[in-house]
Amino acid sequence: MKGRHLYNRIAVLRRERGISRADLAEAIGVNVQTVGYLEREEYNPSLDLALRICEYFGLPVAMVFSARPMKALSQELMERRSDREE
Amino acid sequence: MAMSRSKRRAGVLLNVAGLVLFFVAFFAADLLARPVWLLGGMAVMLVVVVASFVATFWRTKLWHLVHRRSELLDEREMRVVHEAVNRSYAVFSVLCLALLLILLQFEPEVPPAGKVLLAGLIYLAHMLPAMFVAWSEREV
Repeated sequence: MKGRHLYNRIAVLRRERGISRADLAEAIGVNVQTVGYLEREEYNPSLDLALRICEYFGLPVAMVFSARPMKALSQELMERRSDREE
Repeated sequence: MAMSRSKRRAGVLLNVAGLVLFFVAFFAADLLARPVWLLGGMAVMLVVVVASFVATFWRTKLWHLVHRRSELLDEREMRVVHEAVNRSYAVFSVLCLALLLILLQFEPEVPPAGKVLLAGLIYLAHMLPAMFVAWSEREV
Protein backbone atom coordinates (compact mmCIF):
# COMPACT_ATOMS: atom_id res chain seq x y z
CA MET A 1 0.00 0.00 0.00
CA LYS A 2 1.37 3.37 -0.98
CA GLY A 3 1.15 5.85 1.90
CA ARG A 4 -0.32 9.30 1.37
CA HIS A 5 1.84 12.40 1.24
CA LEU A 6 2.49 13.94 4.66
CA TYR A 7 3.38 17.60 5.10
CA ASN A 8 5.62 18.85 7.91
CA ARG A 9 7.30 21.93 9.38
CA ILE A 10 10.60 20.30 10.28
CA ALA A 11 12.71 22.56 8.04
CA VAL A 12 11.03 25.74 9.34
CA LEU A 13 11.32 24.70 12.98
CA ARG A 14 14.94 23.65 12.59
CA ARG A 15 15.96 26.91 10.91
CA GLU A 16 13.96 28.98 13.37
CA ARG A 17 15.89 27.43 16.23
CA GLY A 18 19.26 27.62 14.51
CA ILE A 19 19.89 23.89 14.63
CA SER A 20 22.01 22.13 12.02
CA ARG A 21 20.75 19.05 10.19
CA ALA A 22 23.52 17.03 11.80
CA ASP A 23 22.46 18.11 15.32
CA LEU A 24 18.82 17.32 14.63
CA ALA A 25 19.78 13.96 13.11
CA GLU A 26 21.81 13.06 16.19
CA ALA A 27 19.06 14.15 18.56
CA ILE A 28 16.34 12.07 16.88
CA GLY A 29 18.63 9.12 16.09
CA VAL A 30 18.71 9.11 12.30
CA ASN A 31 21.22 9.73 9.52
CA VAL A 32 21.71 13.32 8.23
CA GLN A 33 20.40 12.29 4.79
CA THR A 34 17.19 11.11 6.42
CA VAL A 35 16.64 14.59 7.89
CA GLY A 36 16.97 15.94 4.32
CA TYR A 37 14.39 13.44 3.07
CA LEU A 38 12.04 14.40 5.93
CA GLU A 39 12.43 18.13 5.30
CA ARG A 40 11.75 17.72 1.57
CA GLU A 41 8.70 15.59 2.49
CA GLU A 42 10.07 12.72 0.43
CA TYR A 43 9.84 10.28 3.32
CA ASN A 44 6.97 9.69 5.75
CA PRO A 45 8.37 8.90 9.20
CA SER A 46 7.07 6.09 11.39
CA LEU A 47 4.91 7.09 14.35
CA ASP A 48 7.88 6.51 16.67
CA LEU A 49 10.14 8.85 14.69
CA ALA A 50 7.39 11.46 14.29
CA LEU A 51 6.89 11.46 18.08
CA ARG A 52 10.64 11.78 18.66
CA ILE A 53 10.73 14.80 16.34
CA CYS A 54 7.76 16.41 18.11
CA GLU A 55 9.32 15.74 21.54
CA TYR A 56 12.55 17.32 20.36
CA PHE A 57 10.78 20.50 19.25
CA GLY A 58 8.41 20.39 22.25
CA LEU A 59 5.34 20.70 20.04
CA PRO A 60 2.17 18.64 19.56
CA VAL A 61 2.06 16.36 16.51
CA ALA A 62 -0.58 18.50 14.78
CA MET A 63 1.80 21.48 14.80
CA VAL A 64 4.56 19.54 13.08
CA PHE A 65 2.79 17.05 10.77
CA SER A 66 -0.35 17.18 8.68
CA ALA A 67 -2.03 15.29 5.86
CA ARG A 68 -2.98 18.65 4.30
CA PRO A 69 -0.63 21.41 3.11
CA MET A 70 0.47 23.39 6.16
CA LYS A 71 -0.05 27.10 6.64
CA ALA A 72 2.68 29.36 7.98
CA LEU A 73 3.03 28.91 11.75
CA SER A 74 2.21 32.57 12.42
CA GLN A 75 -0.97 32.35 10.35
CA GLU A 76 -2.10 29.20 12.12
CA LEU A 77 -1.47 30.74 15.55
CA MET A 78 -3.44 33.85 14.57
CA GLU A 79 -6.36 31.73 13.37
CA ARG A 80 -6.36 29.68 16.59
CA ARG A 81 -6.30 32.85 18.63
CA SER A 82 -9.26 34.39 16.77
CA ASP A 83 -11.17 31.05 17.08
CA ARG A 84 -10.69 31.21 20.85
CA GLU A 85 -11.82 34.83 21.02
CA GLU A 86 -15.05 34.20 19.10
CA MET B 1 31.08 11.29 -1.11
CA ALA B 2 27.93 12.49 -2.88
CA MET B 3 27.29 11.43 -6.46
CA SER B 4 24.34 12.32 -8.70
CA ARG B 5 21.82 9.60 -9.52
CA SER B 6 22.62 9.71 -13.25
CA LYS B 7 26.33 9.19 -12.50
CA ARG B 8 25.52 6.35 -10.10
CA ARG B 9 23.33 4.69 -12.73
CA ALA B 10 26.12 5.03 -15.29
CA GLY B 11 28.47 3.43 -12.75
CA VAL B 12 26.08 0.53 -12.16
CA LEU B 13 25.70 -0.10 -15.92
CA LEU B 14 29.46 0.09 -16.39
CA ASN B 15 30.04 -2.35 -13.53
CA VAL B 16 27.53 -4.90 -14.84
CA ALA B 17 28.68 -4.51 -18.48
CA GLY B 18 32.31 -4.95 -17.40
CA LEU B 19 31.43 -8.11 -15.47
CA VAL B 20 29.37 -9.61 -18.33
CA LEU B 21 32.07 -8.81 -20.92
CA PHE B 22 34.73 -10.27 -18.62
CA PHE B 23 32.84 -13.57 -18.45
CA VAL B 24 32.19 -13.57 -22.21
CA ALA B 25 35.92 -12.98 -22.82
CA PHE B 26 36.75 -15.69 -20.26
CA PHE B 27 34.65 -18.30 -22.09
CA ALA B 28 35.85 -17.11 -25.51
CA ALA B 29 39.48 -17.35 -24.35
CA ASP B 30 38.85 -20.94 -23.34
CA LEU B 31 37.43 -21.76 -26.79
CA LEU B 32 40.08 -19.84 -28.80
CA ALA B 33 43.18 -21.20 -27.02
CA ARG B 34 43.73 -18.01 -25.03
CA PRO B 35 44.94 -15.42 -27.56
CA VAL B 36 46.87 -12.51 -26.02
CA TRP B 37 44.46 -9.81 -27.28
CA LEU B 38 41.57 -11.53 -25.50
CA LEU B 39 43.54 -11.85 -22.26
CA GLY B 40 44.32 -8.13 -22.58
CA GLY B 41 40.61 -7.44 -23.04
CA MET B 42 39.87 -9.44 -19.91
CA ALA B 43 42.39 -7.37 -17.96
CA VAL B 44 40.79 -4.14 -19.23
CA MET B 45 37.33 -5.40 -18.22
CA LEU B 46 38.63 -6.29 -14.76
CA VAL B 47 39.99 -2.75 -14.39
CA VAL B 48 36.60 -1.35 -15.49
CA VAL B 49 34.81 -3.50 -12.91
CA VAL B 50 37.16 -2.53 -10.07
CA ALA B 51 37.22 1.18 -11.01
CA SER B 52 33.42 1.43 -11.31
CA PHE B 53 33.03 -0.48 -8.04
CA VAL B 54 35.34 1.90 -6.19
CA ALA B 55 33.74 5.04 -7.68
CA THR B 56 30.10 3.99 -7.50
CA PHE B 57 29.85 1.74 -4.46
CA TRP B 58 32.89 2.20 -2.22
CA ARG B 59 33.48 5.95 -2.18
CA THR B 60 29.76 6.72 -1.95
CA LYS B 61 29.54 4.24 0.97
CA LEU B 62 26.70 2.41 -0.79
CA TRP B 63 28.46 -0.89 -0.28
CA HIS B 64 28.75 -0.11 3.44
CA LEU B 65 25.06 0.82 3.61
CA VAL B 66 23.79 -2.48 2.24
CA HIS B 67 26.23 -4.53 4.33
CA ARG B 68 25.73 -2.74 7.64
CA ARG B 69 23.93 -4.52 10.49
CA SER B 70 20.25 -3.51 10.55
CA GLU B 71 20.55 -2.19 14.14
CA LEU B 72 22.93 0.48 12.84
CA LEU B 73 20.52 1.72 10.16
CA ASP B 74 17.74 4.24 10.65
CA GLU B 75 14.21 3.39 9.52
CA ARG B 76 14.50 5.05 6.07
CA GLU B 77 17.82 3.33 5.36
CA MET B 78 16.32 0.04 6.49
CA ARG B 79 13.44 0.48 4.06
CA VAL B 80 15.82 1.37 1.20
CA VAL B 81 17.99 -1.69 1.88
CA HIS B 82 14.94 -3.93 2.34
CA GLU B 83 13.50 -2.89 -1.05
CA ALA B 84 16.89 -3.37 -2.70
CA VAL B 85 17.32 -6.85 -1.20
CA ASN B 86 13.76 -7.73 -2.25
CA ARG B 87 14.42 -6.77 -5.88
CA SER B 88 17.86 -8.40 -5.82
CA TYR B 89 16.35 -11.68 -4.66
CA ALA B 90 13.89 -11.66 -7.57
CA VAL B 91 16.52 -10.74 -10.18
CA PHE B 92 19.12 -13.16 -8.79
CA SER B 93 16.64 -16.05 -8.67
CA VAL B 94 15.53 -15.49 -12.27
CA LEU B 95 19.16 -15.18 -13.47
CA CYS B 96 20.35 -18.31 -11.68
CA LEU B 97 17.39 -20.39 -12.78
CA ALA B 98 17.61 -19.14 -16.39
CA LEU B 99 21.34 -19.97 -16.40
CA LEU B 100 20.64 -23.43 -15.02
CA LEU B 101 17.95 -23.95 -17.66
CA ILE B 102 20.33 -22.90 -20.45
CA LEU B 103 23.10 -25.17 -19.14
CA LEU B 104 20.66 -28.08 -18.99
CA GLN B 105 19.74 -27.49 -22.65
CA PHE B 106 23.37 -27.80 -23.72
CA GLU B 107 23.98 -30.91 -21.70
CA PRO B 108 23.62 -33.90 -24.10
CA GLU B 109 22.36 -36.36 -21.53
CA VAL B 110 20.50 -34.66 -18.76
CA PRO B 111 19.35 -37.11 -16.12
CA PRO B 112 15.65 -36.72 -15.27
CA ALA B 113 16.72 -35.72 -11.76
CA GLY B 114 18.27 -32.55 -13.23
CA LYS B 115 14.94 -31.34 -14.61
CA VAL B 116 13.12 -32.27 -11.43
CA LEU B 117 15.72 -30.37 -9.41
CA LEU B 118 15.24 -27.29 -11.62
CA ALA B 119 11.46 -27.47 -11.20
CA GLY B 120 11.98 -27.79 -7.46
CA LEU B 121 14.27 -24.76 -7.36
CA ILE B 122 11.77 -22.66 -9.36
CA TYR B 123 9.07 -23.64 -6.86
CA LEU B 124 11.36 -22.88 -3.89
CA ALA B 125 12.44 -19.48 -5.25
CA HIS B 126 8.78 -18.57 -5.71
CA MET B 127 7.60 -19.87 -2.33
CA LEU B 128 10.46 -19.07 0.10
CA PRO B 129 9.22 -15.59 1.12
CA ALA B 130 5.73 -16.96 1.84
CA MET B 131 7.31 -19.84 3.78
CA PHE B 132 9.21 -17.40 6.00
CA VAL B 133 6.03 -15.40 6.67
CA ALA B 134 4.07 -18.58 7.40
CA TRP B 135 6.81 -19.72 9.80
CA SER B 136 7.30 -16.53 11.76
CA GLU B 137 4.07 -14.50 11.86
CA ARG B 138 1.45 -15.01 14.55
CA GLU B 139 -1.44 -13.81 12.34
CA VAL B 140 -1.63 -13.19 8.61
